[in-house]
Amino acid sequence: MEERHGLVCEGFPPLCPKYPWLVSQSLETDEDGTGGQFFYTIHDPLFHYQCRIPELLENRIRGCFYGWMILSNNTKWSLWNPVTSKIIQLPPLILKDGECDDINSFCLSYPPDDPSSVLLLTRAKKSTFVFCRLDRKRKRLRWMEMSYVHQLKRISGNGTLVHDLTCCDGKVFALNTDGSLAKYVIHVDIVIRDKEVVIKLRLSGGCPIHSYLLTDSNYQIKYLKGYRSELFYLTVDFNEETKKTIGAVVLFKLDMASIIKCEKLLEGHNWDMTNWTPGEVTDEYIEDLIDITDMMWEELLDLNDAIFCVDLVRDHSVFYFPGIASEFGGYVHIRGVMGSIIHSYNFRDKTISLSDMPSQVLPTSHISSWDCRLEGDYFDSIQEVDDKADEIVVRRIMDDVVELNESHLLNLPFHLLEMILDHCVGVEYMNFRATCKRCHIAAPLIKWRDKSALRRLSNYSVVSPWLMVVDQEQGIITCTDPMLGDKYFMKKFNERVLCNKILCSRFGWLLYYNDAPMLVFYNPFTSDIRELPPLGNYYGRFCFSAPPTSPDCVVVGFSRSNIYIHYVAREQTWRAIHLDFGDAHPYSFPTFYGRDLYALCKEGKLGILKYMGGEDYSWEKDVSRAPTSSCTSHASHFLTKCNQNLLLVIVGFSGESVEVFNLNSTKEWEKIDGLGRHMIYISGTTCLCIEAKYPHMENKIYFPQLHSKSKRAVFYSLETCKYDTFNPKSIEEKFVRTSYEIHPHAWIEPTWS
Amino acid sequence: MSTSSSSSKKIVLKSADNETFEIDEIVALESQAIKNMIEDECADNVIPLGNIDSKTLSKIIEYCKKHAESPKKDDNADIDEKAVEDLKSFDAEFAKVDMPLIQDILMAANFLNIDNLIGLMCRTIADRIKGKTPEEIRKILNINKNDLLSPEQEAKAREENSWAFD
Repeated sequence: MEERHGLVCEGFPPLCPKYPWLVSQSLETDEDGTGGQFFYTIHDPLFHYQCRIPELLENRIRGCFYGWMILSNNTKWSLWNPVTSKIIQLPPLILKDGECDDINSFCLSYPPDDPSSVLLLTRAKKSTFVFCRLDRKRKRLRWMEMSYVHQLKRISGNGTLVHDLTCCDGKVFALNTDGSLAKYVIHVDIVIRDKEVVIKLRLSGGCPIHSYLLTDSNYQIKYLKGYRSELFYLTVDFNEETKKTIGAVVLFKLDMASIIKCEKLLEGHNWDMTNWTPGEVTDEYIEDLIDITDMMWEELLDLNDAIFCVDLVRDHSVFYFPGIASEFGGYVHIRGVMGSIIHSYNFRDKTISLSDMPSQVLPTSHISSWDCRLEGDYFDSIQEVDDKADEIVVRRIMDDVVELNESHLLNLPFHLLEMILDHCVGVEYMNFRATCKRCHIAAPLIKWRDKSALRRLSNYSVVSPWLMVVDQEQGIITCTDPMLGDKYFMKKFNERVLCNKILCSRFGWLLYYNDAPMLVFYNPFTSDIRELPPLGNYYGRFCFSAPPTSPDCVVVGFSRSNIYIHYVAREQTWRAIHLDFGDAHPYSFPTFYGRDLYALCKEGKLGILKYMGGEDYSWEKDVSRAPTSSCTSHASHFLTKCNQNLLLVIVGFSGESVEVFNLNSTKEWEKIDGLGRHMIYISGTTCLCIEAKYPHMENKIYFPQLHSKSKRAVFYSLETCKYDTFNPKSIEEKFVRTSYEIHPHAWIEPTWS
Repeated sequence: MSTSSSSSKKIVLKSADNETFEIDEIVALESQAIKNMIEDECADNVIPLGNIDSKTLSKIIEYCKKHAESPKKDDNADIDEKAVEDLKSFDAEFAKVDMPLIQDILMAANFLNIDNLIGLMCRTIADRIKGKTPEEIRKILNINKNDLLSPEQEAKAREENSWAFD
């Protein structure tokens, strides 16, 4: 167990404004709550402050506007200004037809000392606003509830709920995303007329759509956040319904001038969707809305010094810090669904690094970001800026120090050096070249894409498959050698991988949908590209039996109700076998086995298409029962073939456990302790099992995650039952401190033939 | 079928540490350098090899003996496949020595001009550095610190390498 340095503070901790701080609250009213707050930062995981700030002891932080914190605990609501210590107690909020946790977003329209200030709340299950006018001249404050159901219908047709309230340049905005026509940004116009509060909804525009994200929107969480005169729209996409693996993080920005322009344009259309029925809406409406939307939003490719923090566990609050120390900027920090891990998305290199929450933070704890600036810069007066940077105890990853005596190789005649180099190709040639001056001179730079060099590489294979990542914006492919951590770049990639997913990667070839959209085979090392006959299914799970250059290459794909088969060398069409998979959908990891085709259903069940090539094929479902695994329901399953055996790998949530099962002759999954000479490479759509070239590589499962420091791949050793990387001093017992890719990625076995 | 008619003629090799090795001439002829000396008749009965120690020399003799015994490719167009396999596995076993000795053998083979052995040793070195970082290669080959690339050269080489597949 690492030693953590904690300081106990009576009042406010002296938080260093260089870092973004998170505060974890366990309320005394919680079952396991000890009360108090726990301030910590992701960037210095071994340090924290333990505090008991009285105002926060029984109140949860719901949001922060104009330096005021919105606090609540069941029916109790208050506003608190930590700088001035002022508290505004609000009357108890008792909802007649719902629990207090039905409130799902919060916003203060103006600072509380402004007579038109309103605290506005939305409900998760009812089309109403709950609000309280904060005018102090009034004798008593009072909660009101107002329905917006008709106003929203006029805008959205069949949308019912407004959420994600935020404030931007004195105006309140929100999202409506449950309608079937489009997703909208709504301007919540609050007007104080005499003593009345009038709330009007106006259409500000559509939510931006990222062009290559065609993923199912059920797996997406959307956030709206205003800051000064800018509005941010942040989406977090997940690879699966359980929302445990983040598939993409996309951020758009909009400034107030564009919002005003857009609202005017939309008012001109005078749309009223109240009586809309399906089929009635013209394409013109959708096209106009998309045109206007595209015009106003700008996708952000860099966050510079800003960060966002969101929490997937407790509520959908989102925090934004425009400028922290630059080395900590450029991230979206996401507390994962299980509550114990923070996923930090780096905007610059599009990777996600994982860090575990301090053990004192319970998965049920309420987490907020703590804004050190608090508008009035409260902490300016406390200049004990506590920079613990020097005290951070980081496990240092170092290669063995090379002890050097007098040289042997130095004495080798030049022609012998050249002869050795003749036997080296690819990576070995380049690494040998980098060892010393003489080797550097003996070995001229070789571009391995040149014709003569390609011939030299024709029988070459690398020691391990590489982790390949496609950066779609820049058109660069990056390959990382998992053993050495070396990176190789290729910028001749002019296509986009649609749906952000490589469907399959085998034999050095990738299969994906391009922009056209067409299914294509691509060898990134030779730039060989081959189109497949059209097939209009973007969500299938695919695999192929041999490189597309081979006469035996068969491609198969599973969709919701079909199995598609295509013989690359023999025909120009797909054969479709219609089967209704029903609840068993989606089948994944199609795996060729003799004349049969296996595919993995939920929880390790298998389906088999027998005699897939013939007319006498048959489909059998549930041929094996789910294995008895110690993993929780959030486990991921991977199917692969090892020699003549089918293997199932089950990886628990965030790698808490790794188990391998073998399908025995009675079609039951039998747990096995090791892979022998083999090793398994896991990524989202492909699971490779190959024989190790060197003994130190065998009996391990490699993950598409790189160690944050050494940049080498993380593996799980079935021999030691521990996570590790190829670095003598870095044993990782837990699956943390790694980063993983958001861009389309896969393990690839480079081939130049 | 093994040794030839000239098996009676012996050659003596003397190592740097004054150890003598008596071998059949046919074995010695594996070395192009010794062959030249014999042909030019400038070799006495004893050939001194002042830059090869006895450990290296005995390895080289072991290699030459085996290869001299094996049928040569041009002896018979119909080569015995078993003999080829046998020689291959001998070479593989022979190369299973530590890196300093490999480098000594390579240097000696270069001096004695034994082509096959030079090739075998170069291949072995190339195999040993497969999957290794430049640092590890330096350690394996015992490369002198003074011969390292300057930080600028190293950065440039790294940059060149990262784009070499582009």
